[in-house]
Amino acid sequence: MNTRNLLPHSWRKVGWIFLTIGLVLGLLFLFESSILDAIDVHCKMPALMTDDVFTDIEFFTLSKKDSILDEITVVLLTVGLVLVGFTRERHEDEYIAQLRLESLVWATYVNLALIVCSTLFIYGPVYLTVMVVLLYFTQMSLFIIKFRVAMYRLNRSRNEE
Amino acid sequence: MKNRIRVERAELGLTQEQVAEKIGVSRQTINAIEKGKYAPSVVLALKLARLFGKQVDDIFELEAED
Repeated sequence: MNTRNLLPHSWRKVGWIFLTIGLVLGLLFLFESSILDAIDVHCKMPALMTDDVFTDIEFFTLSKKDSILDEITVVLLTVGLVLVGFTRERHEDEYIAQLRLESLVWATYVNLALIVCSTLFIYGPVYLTVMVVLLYFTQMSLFIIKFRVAMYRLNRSRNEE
Repeated sequence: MKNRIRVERAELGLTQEQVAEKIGVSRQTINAIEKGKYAPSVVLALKLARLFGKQVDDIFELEAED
């Protein structure tokens, strides 16, 4: 079975750890928790582009803000989602590959539908928050949930030998 | 598509697990093929036929809606 696009099964545990930490941090950001001030990481990052409300775009400079906890959160969440979503199953085969593909297609459709609905029915600055979540988080999350449910059903289908 | 895997398996006295192991897939996949929920690839069909010592079309048969 050709699974060269998938990562080793053992990496999934690391993925869950990254995802859990990323989710906790993400929720803290969403609810603007004061805990974040205590654990923030201060560091200026090299910026390809940076701008502000009142300034033009600057290229190849240092970031203006001095806090990278939100960047760390995005990286943790993304790496976590990839490790959980795209690691091999213990007994990988062509049927499982098909279930994975079907789940991915389903998640893409649902995510695109959510983007359209949000565009039509959400207005104001909160729209940007929703878009950030929809653009890099929900598709993989929906895929992971759908695929895990499919795998659960598959494993539960105790056969009539 | 209809298939005779269960019958062929029974004739050889093999469990789904044993068939799965011999052709390198999971037991659940054999179960899904037997139930007609999944149509295997040509490679997998050929492997099943070789295991049972039959031709592929002795084991798999097209139905009207295919």
